[in-house]
Amino acid sequence: MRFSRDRLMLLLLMLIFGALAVKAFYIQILQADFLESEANKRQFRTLDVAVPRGQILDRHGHLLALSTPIASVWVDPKTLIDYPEAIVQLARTLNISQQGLAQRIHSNPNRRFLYVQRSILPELAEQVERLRLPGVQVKQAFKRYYPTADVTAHILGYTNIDDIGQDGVESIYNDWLAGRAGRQQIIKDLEGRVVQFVNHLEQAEPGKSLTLTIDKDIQFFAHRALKEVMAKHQAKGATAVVLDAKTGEILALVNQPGYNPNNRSQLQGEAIRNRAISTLIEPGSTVKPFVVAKALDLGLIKADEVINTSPGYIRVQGHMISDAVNYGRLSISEVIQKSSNVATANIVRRMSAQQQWQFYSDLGFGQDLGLFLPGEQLGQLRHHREWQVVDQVSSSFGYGFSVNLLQLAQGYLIFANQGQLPPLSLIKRDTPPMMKQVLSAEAVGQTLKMMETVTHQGGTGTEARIEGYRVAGKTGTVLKAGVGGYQEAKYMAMFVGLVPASRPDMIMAIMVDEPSRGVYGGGSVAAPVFQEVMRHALRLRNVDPDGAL
Amino acid sequence: MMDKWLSPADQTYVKPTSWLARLHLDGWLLLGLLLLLGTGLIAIYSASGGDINVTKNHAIRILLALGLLAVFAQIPPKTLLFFTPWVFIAGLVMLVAVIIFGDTGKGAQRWLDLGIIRFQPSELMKLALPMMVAWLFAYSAYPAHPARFVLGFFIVVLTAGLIVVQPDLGTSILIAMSGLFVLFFAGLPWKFIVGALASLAISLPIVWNFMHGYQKQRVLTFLDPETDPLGAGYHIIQSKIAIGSGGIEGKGFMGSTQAHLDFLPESTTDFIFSVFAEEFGLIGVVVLLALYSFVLLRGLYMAYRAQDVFSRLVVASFTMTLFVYVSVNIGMVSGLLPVVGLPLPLVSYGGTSMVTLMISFGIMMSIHTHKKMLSH
Repeated sequence: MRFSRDRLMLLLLMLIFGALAVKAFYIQILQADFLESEANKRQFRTLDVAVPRGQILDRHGHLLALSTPIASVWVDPKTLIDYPEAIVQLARTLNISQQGLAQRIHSNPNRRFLYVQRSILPELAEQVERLRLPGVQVKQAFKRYYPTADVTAHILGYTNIDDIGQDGVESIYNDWLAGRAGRQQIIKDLEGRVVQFVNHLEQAEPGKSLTLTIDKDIQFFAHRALKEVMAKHQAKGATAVVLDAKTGEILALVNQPGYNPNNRSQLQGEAIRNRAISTLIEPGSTVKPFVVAKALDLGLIKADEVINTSPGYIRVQGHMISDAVNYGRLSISEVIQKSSNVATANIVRRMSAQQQWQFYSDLGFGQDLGLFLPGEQLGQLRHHREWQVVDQVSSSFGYGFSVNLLQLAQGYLIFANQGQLPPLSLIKRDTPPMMKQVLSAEAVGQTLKMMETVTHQGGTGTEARIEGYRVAGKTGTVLKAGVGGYQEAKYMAMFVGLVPASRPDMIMAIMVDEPSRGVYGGGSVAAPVFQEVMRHALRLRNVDPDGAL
Repeated sequence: MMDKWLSPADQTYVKPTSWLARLHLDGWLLLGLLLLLGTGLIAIYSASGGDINVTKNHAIRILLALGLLAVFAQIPPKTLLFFTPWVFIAGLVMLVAVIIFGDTGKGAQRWLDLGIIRFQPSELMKLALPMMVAWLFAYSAYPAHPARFVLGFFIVVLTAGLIVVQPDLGTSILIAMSGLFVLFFAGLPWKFIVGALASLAISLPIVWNFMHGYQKQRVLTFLDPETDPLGAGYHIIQSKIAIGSGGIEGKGFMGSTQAHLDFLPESTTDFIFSVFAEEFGLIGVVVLLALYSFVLLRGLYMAYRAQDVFSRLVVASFTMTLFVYVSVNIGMVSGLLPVVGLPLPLVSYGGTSMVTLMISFGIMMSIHTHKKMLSH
C-alpha cells in the first residue's frame, strides 16, 4: 500500500495526459487536412464582384450613359428570424415598415435569400453594413444613368435591373459595355458577415466605354424640334435622323413619342419604338432625285431636256398617275422642284426595271443597315421580275415599296459623295469609310443642283431654307397604306435635305406620321423641322455659309 | 506498515533560506502558475479578437488572485485546520440558501447575492469539502476507523447532492471527486473502491432515468456528435475543427479563424484550448500539457513532503482535482469527454474559478513552507 496510491496517481496522471496528447496528435496531424477543409468550407465563400458598365459618350466625349454605384440589401430569413431586434434595427435604418419586414421574414422562415431593398444609395448600404446584423447582407451593384434622358433614349436603349442592355446601343454592345464581373474568395463568419478578403478567383474587368458618332447638341435640337412638330401638328409620331454627309456617321437620331430611360415605370410600347428604323415608309417623292440622277447617269435624259407633262396625268396599265396641277412643260430641274409624278414616270420608263431595281438595291433599300439595332425593319423591295410596268412607274415616285427613314437618308449620301455611298455608322471610328461607287459624279452633281431649286421660290421645300446657306432637298408626302389600300386623309410628311448644297456637310431626313391639323405636306410639316435643326447644327459644326445672307 | 504519506521522510527543520520561502511562497510552483497564467492572457487576447478590455480585465483578476494566493500562503496550516469545520458548515448553509433564494444565472441557480458581492457557494465548497474530509482524518490513527470513511463519504454525498439540485452536474461531480480523492489518499480500503465502482456501474441506468433531458442529450451527443451537428454536437464539431486546423505548428498568434469568425462558442472560456490549439498547433498543445504536468508534479511532490495527515491529504486532493479539471476540459474540447461546461484552469477567462484555484495554491504553499522541525 505504501507505494501503490501515490504511484498509482502518478501513473494515472501520465496515462491521461498521454491520452490527451495522443488525441491532439490524432486531431491535429491525422485528421488535420480533413478538419482544415471543414473549417474552410464553413468560412470561405465566393463572392461575385460587380463591375461598372462602360460609359457611353457622344462624338465630343460628352457623357450619354454612366453607371453609378448602388446597393441592394438582402437577408437570410432563416438566420435573421432569431434576431427580432436586428429586424427592428434594419427596418429603422432603411426607413421601411418594421411590421412589413418582420412579416416578410416570418412568412419565409426557411428561405436563405430575400431581397429587402434594391437600388439604394451606397451610403445607406454602408450604414446597414456597419450594423453588422446577423443574416443581413449588402450586395454592391451599379445602376445606369442617362444624363441626356429622353433626348437619346432610342439610340442608347436601357438596361434592366440586372444591368443587362435591353435596347439600342446598350443591347447591341452589351458584352463590350458590361465587362466581366470578378469572383473573389472571402471569409465569412457564422452570421454570414464578410470578414476578410482572401484572393481573386477571376479578375474583375470593368466595362469598356463606347464613343458614338452622335452629337449630343444636334441630338438635342432634333429632339426639341420633333417635340414641337408633334405638338403643332398633333401627329401620331415623328422621326428624324441627321447624318454626317461625308462619312455616313449618324449625328442624331430622334423619335417621338419618346421616354425617359431613367424612369421607365410608365413606359409603353409606342414610346419605345425606334421609328427611324422600325417604321416602314413608302418614301414617295423623296426618291425622285434618285430616278433623275440614274437617268442622267445612264444618259437617258439630258440635264437641259424639257418634258411635257400635259395634261397633268397619264394612264399606265389603266392606273391614273397625276400631278397636283397641270405643270405643262417642265425642265428636268423643275421636275424635281415641282415634284411632278407624270414627268418622273416618263423618265423612269426609259430605263429597264432591272436597272431601276438594281439601283435601289445599291442605295440600300430593302437592305440591312449594318447597325444591328434591335427592331430594325428592312423594308420591302420586291424583285424586279415581279414588277409590272405600273409597279416600276409607281416606284419612281416612291410607292409600292418601303424603306425606313435611315435607309432613305443613307441613299442621299450619294449626293454628297460624288456618287459614292459610305456605310452608316453609329460607333466613332478613326478610319475613313469604304465607299461604294453607285453613280457617276457628274450625274449626281447635276441632280444636287436641281435639288437646290426645291428650296427656291416656286419649290415645294421653301420652308427648309436657311439664311446664309444653300439647301438642297426633296419633300415627300405620301398617303399611308393601311389594310385594304391607301387610307383617306392619313399622310406621312417627309423632307430629306443636304446643307450646304455646294459642299454638303449634313443630311437630315424627317418623317412626321399623320399630321392631323389640316396641313400635311412634307414641305410645310417636315421642311421647317429641317430648317430649325440644321440652323443650329451648322452653327455648332462651324460650317461656312455658302449662300446669300 | 507505515505509509510514506503518514510519516514524511523529511522531518528536518526547513530553514527559510530564500526571500520567497520567507514570504511562504514556493518558487517552482509559482513559476509554473505564472507561465500558465501568461499563456491564458495571450490566448484570451486572441480568442476575444484582440479585445484589450477583456484582456485587461483578466490581467486585473490575475493580480487579485495572486494577491489572495499570497495572503492564504501566510495562514499557518494549524489555523486552516481549526477553521475548516466552521467554513464547511457555513458553506453548507449557503448551499441551502442558494436553493431557496438563489439568483438564476444562465439557467441555473448558482449565485448567492450577499448584498455586496454575488457569490457562488459551490466555489467555496471546492476548497472546503476536501479540507473537511481531510479534517476527519487529521487526528486519526492509521489506518483510520471505518466510521471516518463512512462519515466522509456521507459529507461528500451531501455536498454533491446540494450542488446537483442547482442543477450543476459538472461541478457537483468534480467537487465529489475532490472529496473522494481525500478518502482515497486517507487509505480507503480497496474493497470499498471496487465495490463502489461496481455499484456505480449498476446504478448508471437508474441515474440515467433521473437525468434532465439536456444532460441525457449531452451524453448521447458525446457518443456521436455528428448526429446533431447543428445542435448539441455543434460545439464539439467546431472545436475539433479548430484544433485540427491548427496542424503541427498552428496558424500563429491571432490566427484562429474558427474563434474570430464566431464559429467557436465560448471561445474565451470553456473552449479556450481549441483557440490555443488552432493558433499554436500540436507543439503548443504539448508545451501546455508539459506546463500542467510541471505544476501537477510539483503539487504531488509537495504532498509527498507534507508533514501531517491533514496537510498531505489537502495538498494531494487539490493537486488531483486540478488534474481532473485540466483533463476534463481538454478531453471535452477534443471530443474525448462530454461537454460539461468547465473552464480550463488558469487559462480560461473567468474570475471565480481562477480565484478559487489560486487560493488552493496559496494553501498548498502555506503547507509547504510552514514546516517545523519534528522531534523524534
